[in-house]
Amino acid sequence: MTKKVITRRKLLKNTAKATLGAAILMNAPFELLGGTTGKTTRIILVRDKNLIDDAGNYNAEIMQKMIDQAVLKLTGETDIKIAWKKIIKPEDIVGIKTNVWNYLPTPAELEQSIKKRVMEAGVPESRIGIKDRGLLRDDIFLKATALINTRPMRTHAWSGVGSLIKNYIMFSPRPPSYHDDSCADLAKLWDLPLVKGKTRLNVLVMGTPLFHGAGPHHFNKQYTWPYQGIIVGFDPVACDAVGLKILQEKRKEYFGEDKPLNPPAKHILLADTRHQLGTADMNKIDLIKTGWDDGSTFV
Amino acid sequence: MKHKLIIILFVFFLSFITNSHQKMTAQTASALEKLLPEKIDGWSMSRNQLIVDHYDLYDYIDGGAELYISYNYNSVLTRIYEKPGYPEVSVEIFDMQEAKNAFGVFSHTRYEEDSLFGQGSQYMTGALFFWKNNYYVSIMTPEENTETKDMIFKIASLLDQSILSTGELPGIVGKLPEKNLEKESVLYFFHYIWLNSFYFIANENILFINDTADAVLAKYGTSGHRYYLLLVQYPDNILAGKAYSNFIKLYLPEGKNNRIVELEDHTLCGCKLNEDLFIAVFNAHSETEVNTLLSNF
Repeated sequence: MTKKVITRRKLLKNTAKATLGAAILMNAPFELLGGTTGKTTRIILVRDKNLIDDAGNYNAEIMQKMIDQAVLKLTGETDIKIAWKKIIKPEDIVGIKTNVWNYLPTPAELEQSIKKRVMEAGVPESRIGIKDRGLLRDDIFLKATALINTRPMRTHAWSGVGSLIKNYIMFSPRPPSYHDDSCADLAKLWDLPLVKGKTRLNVLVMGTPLFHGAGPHHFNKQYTWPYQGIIVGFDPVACDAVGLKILQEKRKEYFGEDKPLNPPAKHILLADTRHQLGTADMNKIDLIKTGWDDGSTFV
Repeated sequence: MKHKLIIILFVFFLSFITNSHQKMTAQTASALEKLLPEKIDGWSMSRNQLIVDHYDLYDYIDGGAELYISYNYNSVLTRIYEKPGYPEVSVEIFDMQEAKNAFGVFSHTRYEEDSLFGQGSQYMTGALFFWKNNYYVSIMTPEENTETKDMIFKIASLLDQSILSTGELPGIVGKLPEKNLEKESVLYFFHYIWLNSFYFIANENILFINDTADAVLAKYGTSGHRYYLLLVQYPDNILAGKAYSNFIKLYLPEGKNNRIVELEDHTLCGCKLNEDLFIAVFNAHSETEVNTLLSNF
């Protein structure tokens, strides 16, 4: 199959993207679809200036409050238990897919906040797994009926950013096979049998995002900042698009000029235009912001 | 009998291959390890590992290996130094086979450049990177203080002295016009993935950039008013001509009849072919900017 060439000029000419098919919505519980207009994807951005202290420790209580706020706004409910019951059923086997990257892992406080609400939705602890590596040898992830996808956003040496879309790479028996063209087709991961149609919620951690990479391990504290936020939604592409926008704006502020990611995080755009996994078009994202705003929310 | 002979020959062949590989690995390891002592002013080596295999590099760097592989990485020696009461200092010496590869990796890493070490270096809080000949060196600490910073600079100095020879910059870098050039922006590559480093051009390899076609991207102008020059040097005029035609077809059809084309975002783009060299200017705001750069070739 010949790959479609996307050039800068085509993007400039063609701002309207292809209509998104039902496949996008497969990641959201059916009963929630009525809550969207069909044209926009609702994404919640919550910030709290006390989420992380000066030593880098997450406050578990604040994290719980933030994820609760996000889920309530996302579902339109006022009771957190009812809201979670719309997302998770008592008979579900739930895999919480995290990220263990040494320098910027998914915070344990978030993992536990999610687990607590999943248990309150009626799922026993024995049917909940929290994991990043070794998913293909894990009974819960192999049998999971529901996935919750969560990780911090950071720049990445080959895919532009480490994103929610990319976070499912560990479901592949051969992760390097997705490396072609700077990971352009990472959205294909979402078609793997262990993944397809199972994701109920996406949480992109924007606690101390990494906005620029330096050195072999691509990490230097100097390029992180306390954004103190989380982005939550049913659409992983929209969550990633919002996170990416924040990173790009931070780069502009830091470097004093537009310094595009190198390489660009095109897998997010292609997840929309080529794979119809979700929407990357900021004009179609209904972004609800809540909590702390220090004037540098960036979106 | 015939089968037995084949099996014996096969086993002999396998053993020859394995031994050769081990020998090569050992030579690489000893060459790199000789560059650095195990103890330096109260700091002691606590871990030492030589990585040759690409998959081991994926494991070690976790997400960043592709950059080095795209520049023909050969091996890396990683070493941790510890001193009681202080954060560790890690050193990575990448053997990139050729100077142009080491420079290529460095051209990705730095955004400011000093000449403290090697043939170009950048120091930032907690980290120092430099390149010299076929080596790219990274020295980092998770927490910088006077002691760890001092150690970072000592290691850099030792390595700089130990790597005796220097290497040549890729020839294509020397072709960049100097007027209005932001020197620290120069990015050398020969894997097409880096074409979009400053400015998204296309998702596919429309210019047929590969191991045999060196490319360089550079920024011109001033902050807030940047325009970009791309040069690609092909092994012959025929390949250059094919790349030029493909670029015109897929990106700049108006370029058939016009040297400078105004794009949909009102920026200007121009390109030309000079024998085996493809030249393009992007994101310019005046015809003078395009013409001034193109006229150098």
